[in-house]
Amino acid sequence: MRIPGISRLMNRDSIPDNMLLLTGAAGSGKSIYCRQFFLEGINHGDYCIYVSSTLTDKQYRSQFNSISELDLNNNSKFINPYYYKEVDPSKKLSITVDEIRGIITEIKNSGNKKRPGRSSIKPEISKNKDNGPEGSSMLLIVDSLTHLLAIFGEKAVETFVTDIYYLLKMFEVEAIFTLTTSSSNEYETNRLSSIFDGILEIKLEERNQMFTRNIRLLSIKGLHHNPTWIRFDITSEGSLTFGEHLHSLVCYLCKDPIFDVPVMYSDLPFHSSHLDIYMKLAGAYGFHIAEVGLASEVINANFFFIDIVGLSDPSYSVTKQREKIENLNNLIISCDAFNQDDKKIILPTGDGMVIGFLLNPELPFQLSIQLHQKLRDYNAEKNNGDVIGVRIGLNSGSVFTVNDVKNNQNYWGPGIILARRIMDMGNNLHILIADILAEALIALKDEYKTSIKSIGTYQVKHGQSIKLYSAFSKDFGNPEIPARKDF
Amino acid sequence: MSKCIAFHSYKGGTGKTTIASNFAALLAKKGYNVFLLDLDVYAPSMQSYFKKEPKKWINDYLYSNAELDDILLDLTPTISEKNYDGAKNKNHANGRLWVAFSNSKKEEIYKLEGGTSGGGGAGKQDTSKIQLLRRFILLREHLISQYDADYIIIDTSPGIRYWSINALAVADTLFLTLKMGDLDIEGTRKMADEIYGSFTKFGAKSYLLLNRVDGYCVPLESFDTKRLSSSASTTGTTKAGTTFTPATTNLIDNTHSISFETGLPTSREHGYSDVIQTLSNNVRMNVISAIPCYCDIQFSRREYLTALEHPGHPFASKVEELIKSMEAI
Repeated sequence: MRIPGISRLMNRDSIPDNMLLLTGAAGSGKSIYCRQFFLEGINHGDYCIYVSSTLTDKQYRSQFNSISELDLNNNSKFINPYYYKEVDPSKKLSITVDEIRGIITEIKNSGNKKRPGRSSIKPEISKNKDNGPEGSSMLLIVDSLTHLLAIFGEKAVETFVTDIYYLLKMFEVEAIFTLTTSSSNEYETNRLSSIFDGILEIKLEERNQMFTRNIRLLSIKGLHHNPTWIRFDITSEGSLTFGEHLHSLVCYLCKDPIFDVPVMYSDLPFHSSHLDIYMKLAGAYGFHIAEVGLASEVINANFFFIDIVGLSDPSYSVTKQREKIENLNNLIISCDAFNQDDKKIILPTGDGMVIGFLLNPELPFQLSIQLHQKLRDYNAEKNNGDVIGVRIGLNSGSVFTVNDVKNNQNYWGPGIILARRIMDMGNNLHILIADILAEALIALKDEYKTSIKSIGTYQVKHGQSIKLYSAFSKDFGNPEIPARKDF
Repeated sequence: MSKCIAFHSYKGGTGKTTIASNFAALLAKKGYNVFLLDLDVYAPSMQSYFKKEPKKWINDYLYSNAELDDILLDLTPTISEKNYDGAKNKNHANGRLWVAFSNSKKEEIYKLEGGTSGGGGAGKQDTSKIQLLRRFILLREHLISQYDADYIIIDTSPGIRYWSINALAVADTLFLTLKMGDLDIEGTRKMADEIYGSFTKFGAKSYLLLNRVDGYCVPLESFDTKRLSSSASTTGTTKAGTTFTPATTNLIDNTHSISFETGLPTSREHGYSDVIQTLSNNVRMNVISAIPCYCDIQFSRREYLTALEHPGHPFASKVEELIKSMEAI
């Protein structure tokens, strides 16, 4: 069974086929989670049955408008138990069970034959399951039990869930049922949850007028599991991203995400149990450590870290965001300073980039000035929505070569990390420079003394203090002192 | 709290595999959940002690071609079948022994020895080894978190090699096994300095484990039955049902006893105590145990788990002593 975010929730790719109960407060994101489960299933080639007493068929189709009508018809079935108009209300749920049984039986018995349109949806992995398309499963979503309880009552819903449970076990169907939890229905929740194989729980928290959502796999039968809250976000397109903030750290040694509190060493994150192992390995391999692919060559470079201010504004379309990134890249490439060092390190960062100049410490500063001048000309011709605002952080420091998960050589280390943190202190048009580089530049040429000004000591992440300089003149930079931020 | 113990040596043939296998089996008999890993990947021999064929090998796991369930053999029945103590100890019911073997096929050994090139092209590096290491770390993590391991026992490759270092790095207790009569004092000291130093600096505990301490073999017929371990009977029954009755000479008792204070052989008659004491001082490791040389084990035509087949054998007593010493750490 593949549920959204499973690799973060359990550090594995799948769990045994199960019937899971997804609980959480109203508005916590249960339906969105089910939607993701559905979409991932359809993309994987699964057949999905969606049961909801709150949606109309039209709303259901609208919810999945990213899937073609043909694929939706051939690979899914929507059931609203309330629509069985000719039936005694008390029997509507048992009719629903019968319909689900009929669909499952038909699909399982017919294999691909009943699903002519599924050619456009290719299973990503092969599990060789019997009685079904290769690599695919059947999924059931019931969203939500809360509404069914309100309409049909506790006893009917309990019978419905129990009947479904045995039906699904018989046919190895994976399912998620949602239930809105509140202090008033604790008893019902406990009774129902005992029927399920596992419980997923979402919590919604408000902090500083910002909502954060976290999910955990509270329990699952047959598997030892240490539940951990994983943060997830809902994108503007309605899809889910997991661990973007709380758990975006990856252990430097094992490359797995860190769900607990990380241990930092030289600004590198580790699982708490892995730092010692890393230190032992580093100590043992000594100068031959490159042979095992751990940190190897140390490089000193002068870093130019840039990002586009406000690029993630949801009012911008993805196309607009991409255009801005591409235009900024072109502007940077057109600067003379960019082309003066052919051994530089260039790493894209999504909404910007980091460039490490290996030869000349002046180049990142000159690139900043040249880019600001080009941006001024560029922005003068643009509407408000197309204007590109940037902030820049400059630093000199060391990095070392590391290998990423695709086996590509990459760079990582304090030089880049600090450049990023310095940039994060700035606002639009700020060119902020770490003391080590700023003082080197000031000592180099008198003209730099007039444009590079000390702005005091700032505290960046992890309580680290850094003396900052800001570069500005009438042609570049931002003369305003950046506000101090809380980390 | 799980404990991960690596049996290592500077040279091969010190008895690591024999001791590690018996050690693991006796731990399981004592009621622990024990995982024995054959990480002597360049010359695996552990399989000969258990005579079981796994579905998949540790090699497969390291190359992500198998999951833990595929490589772990549940050999708990082995320790139950070979319970010669009469009535079953209550704890035995809870003890489990799981073993994962290394593949002895030469192509598999070559593969692990050299790793595979990461491509060597621009922007590429040989990272296959680090990926294997990550899988190995994951293996240890999962044994602890998903299999509730009490003990992970690793039989390592000898010397300073990639997989022996990796095994030592993930372990929290290191037993440096020395075979008396074939010591390389300088090499051992150097290895202890260069390798063990960096491990102990970050929390590992390391000990010298002396094997074949007498320098000559003790015939089976020479055992003093009164000196057998308290848990062992003087007369046992082998798996095949034959009776095992040790003879009653007193060779070990008089000349080969071990000091409980230092762990060192106390006899002045053999010439090793000074050497060992010097080595122990040089490498700053205490001796955790000293096991005499036994002819029947040394010259057996087949490998077997003495501690299970002959629980009354003094070797079994020595392994039990080692367990007690380890538990006291």
